[in-house]
Amino acid sequence: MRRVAGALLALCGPLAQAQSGLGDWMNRMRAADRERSFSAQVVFSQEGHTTQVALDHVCDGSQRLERLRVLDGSERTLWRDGQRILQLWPAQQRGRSDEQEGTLFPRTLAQLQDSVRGHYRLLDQGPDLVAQRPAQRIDLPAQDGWRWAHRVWLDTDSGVVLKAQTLADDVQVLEQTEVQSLQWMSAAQSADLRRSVRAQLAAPAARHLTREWRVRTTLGAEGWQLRDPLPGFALQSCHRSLAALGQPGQTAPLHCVWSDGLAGFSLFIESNPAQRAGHPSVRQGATRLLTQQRPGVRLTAVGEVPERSLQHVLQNLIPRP
Amino acid sequence: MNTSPAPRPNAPTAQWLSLACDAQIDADALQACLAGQCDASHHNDWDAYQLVGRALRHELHDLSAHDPVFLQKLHSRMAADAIYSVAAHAIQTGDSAGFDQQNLAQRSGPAQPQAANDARWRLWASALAMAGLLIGLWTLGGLGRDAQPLLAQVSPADPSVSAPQGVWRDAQLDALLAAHQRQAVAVVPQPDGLLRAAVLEAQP
Repeated sequence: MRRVAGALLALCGPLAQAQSGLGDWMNRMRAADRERSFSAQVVFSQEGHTTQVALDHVCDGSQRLERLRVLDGSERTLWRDGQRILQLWPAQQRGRSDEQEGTLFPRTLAQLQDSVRGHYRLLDQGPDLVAQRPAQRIDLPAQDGWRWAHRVWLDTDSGVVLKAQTLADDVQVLEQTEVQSLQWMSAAQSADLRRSVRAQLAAPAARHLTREWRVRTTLGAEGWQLRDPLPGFALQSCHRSLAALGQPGQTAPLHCVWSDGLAGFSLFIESNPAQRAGHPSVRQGATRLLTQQRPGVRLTAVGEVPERSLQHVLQNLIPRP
Repeated sequence: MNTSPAPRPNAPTAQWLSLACDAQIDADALQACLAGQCDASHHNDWDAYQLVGRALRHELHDLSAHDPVFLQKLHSRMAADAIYSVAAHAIQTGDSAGFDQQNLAQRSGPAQPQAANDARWRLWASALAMAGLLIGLWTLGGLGRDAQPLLAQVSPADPSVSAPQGVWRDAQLDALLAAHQRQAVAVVPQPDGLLRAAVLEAQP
């Protein structure tokens, strides 16, 4: 009996240690995001296709400034200053300016930890090597069937995320992001990038610029309610785009976003939608998309969650009494 | 994907029909065209485009009304597509070692020089090529009855390799997906929605 108890303790020891280390892990990752400036070559893999991205990252106080340049296929660049986003497609001389409505950062670290701890296990898998740098691998298997599992490799020295995977059934890799090389920026380089991001956002180099304007709203105000919310997913934002205003017969869809801290999904509610053949159900990497047609309304749920989660959301969305 | 509104021609061209399939032409204009200006060949093209689109979305189970032999061959052709095979193999290996970049590079060639490395555009190219082939065969009246020699040249799909499900084939869905990715937030910074948005939104 004592041996069994000893074996159990030996097995549970690292798990308990890892669970208690959740705050430490998230603190390190967040601190690296806010305090480190770097340039990285990142490879994004999805369904066997790889895309190289050059990422330049700098932080200004609590504002994250980034430039993402896609190096394969048609040229495009994404700039970010905090929640402001600018996408540019130079070949078409087009751009889109947008703003992220939701953010995880208003939630306290404790709230985020509770959300992650409640729905994922945390397993410290020890040292590894990524991009020839010592890394710490952390596995986050899902505790229920509502979400995918995740693996994250943090740079041992800095806490920068070097590699991340999204997995189905804890083993099948659906999507992967991996840093191939990492270089720290000097103060002068950081200042240059900061200036460059802000200059681009102030005067985008695009002949045709689309700007997304939105009004914030709530599900309830729009006459809907989610009868049985998906466990662990908190509502991040609910808004309506103003792009369709002034275009006869068009109403912008209501767009609500939920996140559990590691993954998210969106629900779009379109009134009087244009006709579409069939009820598409799509899979791409970790992303799933489901649609449901109701009289006069079309619902589209899309996110980095299993199909059953989207199905649950669609089934539980009801008109507010 | 072309998002600019397409002009309505007097008689629909194949390109115009393709845009209509992608929901880039309003339903009323399409209805008017189909009611008045389209001949049998346009209807055939329209049907073939729809069929390929639905097959790409893995909705073949809904298509029992179509020629079963044709559908079987279409599905086989899609399953044998090299892009699917590489993708599925990488995913099926399961762990990170099986998914690492070196292995991928060995299977699919060096990653960096590939110009069309965007998944959607490669699949689009395949879909368009296949649509052209199918329409040609259909027009000649051969597919489903005596097209066996052509399609028999396609090697059968590896039964151990399952094709990933679905391809975006709808401009409206693309727009919703892009909107989701721009708004998705995650505590792990690099694989957040913006990286997906930058990579996958190849066209404005």
